[in-house]
Amino acid sequence: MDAEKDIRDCLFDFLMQEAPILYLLFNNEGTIEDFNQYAEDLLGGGLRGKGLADVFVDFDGNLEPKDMATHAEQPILLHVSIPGDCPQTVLCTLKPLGDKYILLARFDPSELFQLQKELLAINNEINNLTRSLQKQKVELEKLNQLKNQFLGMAAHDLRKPTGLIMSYSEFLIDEVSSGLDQEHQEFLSIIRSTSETMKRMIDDFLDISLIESGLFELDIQALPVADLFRTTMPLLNQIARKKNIAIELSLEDGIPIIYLDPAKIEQIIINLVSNAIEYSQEGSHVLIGVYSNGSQVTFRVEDHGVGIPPDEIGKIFSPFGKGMTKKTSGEKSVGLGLAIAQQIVKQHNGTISVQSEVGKGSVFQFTIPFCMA
Amino acid sequence: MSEINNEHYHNYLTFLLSGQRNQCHQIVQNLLDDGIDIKDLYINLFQASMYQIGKLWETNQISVAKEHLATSITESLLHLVYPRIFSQDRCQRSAVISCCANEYHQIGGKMVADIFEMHGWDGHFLGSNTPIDDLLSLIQEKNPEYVGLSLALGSNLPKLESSIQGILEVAPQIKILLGGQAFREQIDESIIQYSNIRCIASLYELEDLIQQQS
Repeated sequence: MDAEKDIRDCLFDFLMQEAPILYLLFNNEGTIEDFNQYAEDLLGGGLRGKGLADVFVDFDGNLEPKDMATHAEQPILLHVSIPGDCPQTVLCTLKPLGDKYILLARFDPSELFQLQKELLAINNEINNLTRSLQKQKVELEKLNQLKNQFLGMAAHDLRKPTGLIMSYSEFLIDEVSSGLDQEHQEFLSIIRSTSETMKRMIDDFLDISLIESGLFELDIQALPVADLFRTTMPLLNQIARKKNIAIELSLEDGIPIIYLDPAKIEQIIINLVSNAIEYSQEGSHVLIGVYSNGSQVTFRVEDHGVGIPPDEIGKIFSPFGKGMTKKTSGEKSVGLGLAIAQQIVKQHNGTISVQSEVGKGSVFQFTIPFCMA
Repeated sequence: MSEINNEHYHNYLTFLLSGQRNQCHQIVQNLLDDGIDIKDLYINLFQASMYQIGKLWETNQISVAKEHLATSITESLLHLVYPRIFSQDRCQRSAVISCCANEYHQIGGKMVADIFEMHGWDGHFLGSNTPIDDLLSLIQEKNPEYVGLSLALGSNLPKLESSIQGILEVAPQIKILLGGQAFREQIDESIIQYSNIRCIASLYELEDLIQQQS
């Protein structure tokens, strides 16, 4: 008998002090009256007097002691609140003892196993979706390449005949239009202006196809910034005069020689200022400012036109992302100019940005570093 | 062009076992930058290291968690290869590759699908633990020339057999390829009783088969 008692005592001590099994004794009210060392280590001190709801998360409404008595015949899953950690599932066995209950609980490995399996399945699915996306990406890139080839070829083939139409219409206007009646002179004028618009579009198509194919190259030269405006200002003034818009150029003194592709930067300036004119009301004015801050030169174009709605700002540098805002005199474009400008600036290691307010106007500015490396 | 040597393999395996994803990534990226042959990479680095990982797991030398981590790293590195694999010209032929129901080891099957892709085929990969109904639906939708079934664990052989029976019911003439770790040591003769079923021992054998078809 003594030996048996010794074993029971030893077993009790083992359960209370060392066994990795959670033991709680609670009463009909759900108040904890006793617990073992493992419970204290796991759930923190001060367990005596706490309610079951303090140590278990009642996901399933199982924590009413009177309801728990109905689970006494078979183990139930509960979620134990672990201080500083997420709730973990334990498999609990209940034993009624008069008006009290003994609760023994151990961690349930089946949930972990199930979670592991589910995570594995999710991981596999993500990998497989990534594979499909990669395949679609490669296929889309191939299609895009074909589109660029087509665009480049078509634009190249259309450029020459359009140039001829433009030249001959100019020749006819200069040489023979005086002998034509008013209506026929207007026809010639329409042919010339339409062919000019077409040529600009074709040039944009060529540029964008070269940019997207990675074949767009810069011809870097060293020059004073003022040189960029020698040929562009007369052209811009000519466009501005049609809408009675004044262009003001403000060049900071002492800007050092800069390395850039003059033709491409002039293209950006013409594009930004033309846009400023096209989106401004007649009689308005456009300001061009150029200044340096030591490491870079900033070109700034400010208008007081219709402005760009906030939901369109994010799209305007994307190809064909011209948005819904109408130009003030119905001028036409395909929406490639800003996308091309952004790529040219990027190739110069610079940045381009816009600030705009509807009804007040827009400020576009781009920077080009003095040292491109 | 680079080739996988012992140094590559041992460095890679060491990093893989210690869960160092970035270092594994660097080794693979360097090999790709040096123009490594994709099959060499798949067979002598990815497959060899995963077989070794499997052996270490089977002999209780590494935990299942490490095995899963190594698998996850290897799968993520396959993504580095895709731009090269998928850029091949298409030949308008297709194969459907899948793991059986209850089979979670999918890298081998994915490599098989990738080898098809490398030869211009569409290698549709269905992934792990594929329910038989999903597999049959895709076969009916894509009408592939080949169906590849991958099996890593011998314990899943009954699932494989029921998959084969299901496939042959919807597509009696279709050619079925079997492969995977479960077939490495012995092939269950009952599985290959049909003339249109063939066990593929390696990715090299698979490539020979694909080349014979072109």
